[in-house]
Amino acid sequence: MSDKNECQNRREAITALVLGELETPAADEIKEHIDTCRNCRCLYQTLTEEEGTVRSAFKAIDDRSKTMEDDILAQLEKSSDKSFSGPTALRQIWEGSRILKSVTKLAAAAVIITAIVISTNFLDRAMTSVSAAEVLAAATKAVSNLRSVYIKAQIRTIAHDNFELIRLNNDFVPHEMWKEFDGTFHGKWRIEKPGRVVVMDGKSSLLLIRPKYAARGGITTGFVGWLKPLLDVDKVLDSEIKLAQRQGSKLLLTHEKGIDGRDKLVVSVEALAQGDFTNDWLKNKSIPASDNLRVYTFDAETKLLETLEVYVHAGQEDILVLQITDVEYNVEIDPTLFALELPEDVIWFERPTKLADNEKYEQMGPKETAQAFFQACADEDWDEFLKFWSASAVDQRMKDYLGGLEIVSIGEPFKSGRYAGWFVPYEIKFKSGHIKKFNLAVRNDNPAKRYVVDGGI
Amino acid sequence: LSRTESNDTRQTEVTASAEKTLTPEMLVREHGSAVLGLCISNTKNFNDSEDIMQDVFLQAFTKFRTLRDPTRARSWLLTIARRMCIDYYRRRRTSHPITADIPARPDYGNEHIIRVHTAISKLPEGYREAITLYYLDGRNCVGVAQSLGISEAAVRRRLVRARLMLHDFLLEDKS
Repeated sequence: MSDKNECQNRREAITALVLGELETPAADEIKEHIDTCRNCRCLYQTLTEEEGTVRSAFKAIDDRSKTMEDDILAQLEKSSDKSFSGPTALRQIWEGSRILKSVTKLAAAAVIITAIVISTNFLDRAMTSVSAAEVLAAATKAVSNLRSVYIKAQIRTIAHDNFELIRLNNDFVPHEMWKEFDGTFHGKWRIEKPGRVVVMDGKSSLLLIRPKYAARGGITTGFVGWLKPLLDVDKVLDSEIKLAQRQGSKLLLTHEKGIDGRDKLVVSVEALAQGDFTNDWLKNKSIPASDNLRVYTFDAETKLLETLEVYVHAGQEDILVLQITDVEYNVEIDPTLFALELPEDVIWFERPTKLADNEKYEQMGPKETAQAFFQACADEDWDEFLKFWSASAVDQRMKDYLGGLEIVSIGEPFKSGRYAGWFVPYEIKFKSGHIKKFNLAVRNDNPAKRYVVDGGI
Repeated sequence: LSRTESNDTRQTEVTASAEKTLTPEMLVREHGSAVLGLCISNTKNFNDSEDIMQDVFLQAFTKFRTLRDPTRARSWLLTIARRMCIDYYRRRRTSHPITADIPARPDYGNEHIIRVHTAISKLPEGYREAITLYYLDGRNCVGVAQSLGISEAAVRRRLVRARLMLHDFLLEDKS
């Protein structure tokens, strides 16, 4: 009589024997045991009998596949040019086929190959945390020797607007990011798109809105919103796991084979828009303010981030809004990249400070602020304008744009998303006769406690 | 030629040779059943799997030039198939929930065979793919290892565990 635990340990060997995948000495040994053990003999016999049905199941797929193969090739045959080389012929196949169906936009763009998501444990938190923690541990180790990273990405946005802004219907705008891990907590980094650039020299950050607006930031001021964590490639996963825990987003880890033949780890994060969207003005205007799917691909061996794709779920559509197209590690970065040369006539955006008559402005609410701001524009009173527009000067372009406008209406302020300030609906008529209806963003979370215009002009 | 240029030239030669040697017929005939099997094991639906199989080959034809190494055709096709199964899942998730059982279809065999397919679909992904490719590949671990890009020993380990789990699921189903 054999010990039950020992028999339990032999189950795999018996299965391998049935499959013919056991080497001779081990096979002989297990056969001897089967002869003397009733339980193991029973398992062996059941598996052997079952094997016929299992093979038949796959034979059925094989048979059915033959018919399908005939169909696919017949469709190819029907096309005017069945050579395997030209896209034109393939286009004809694509468009002319009766049975071949179109591939969705998303399918064409998607990089994720995570067949496991078909399983119902997609939302299984337990699996998520354990698996992701394993990758995280390995990933942190792998990136401990990182000296630098260079990332190329493209984002659907406006070239000169906030780095955090996304616009679902806009074209992609190229972005470049550099970071040097110099041993300091923040390191040196630079993020750039055609209309804006931010550099951090390790001590403070500097933003340039081309051609001549600039702002200074502290060591933690990023100006770049959601993009900054991407530069901390050693913390990307950690930050996503924490976010998943805090925001209840769903995180899934899968393994896949990359097109380059290497094993990949794919972390998919299904996240919900953060904030109150009773008024949906800010919905889908940034990645955190959208329901989105973020798909990170890491090299399984090096654990280094290779790609990221962010899809915003907008109605029935999934729109790719951000895509990392290239990541290079330990590249030499020209040190001058972490400094900015500013134009001589630079205009500085500054934190509002207390005015001599600060009390008057402190008492204004969002609506009154919008009214007073546009009135200053209408009157071309640029000193008054600067009390709501926290900059060192007003440039001629701004004066030409806003000067002499006519206020048509100012609406009731509202909140949206997680924006700390208010949005004030307005309608104005420019000197040119052009009418603009939009929402002015104002906020007063500053030392002077007065509302200033933060955007929306 | 510099080393890079020389590599580029070699790569062009390989691609050109792949274009000459690989035909649609070869691609479809040699890998059709593996693609269909993988789709069935992932989507749990015969009809949709057949549609996806067609889409996989359509995309393979259009993206043929991105296949740098023709010896990796199967692994490449399976990658496309997995991606398409994801899209299938996404579409389906928004329409109606996925059922646990594979709906029967006469051309895929009798009730017993359908039970096997259903049990296979319950296996973890890595196991499901290994066992599917093993049986569709003439029970050859070496071929499966190449397709999945893992070692032969890893395939054997997955296969044995998958087969044992399959047995347990079938027993469960019977009881």
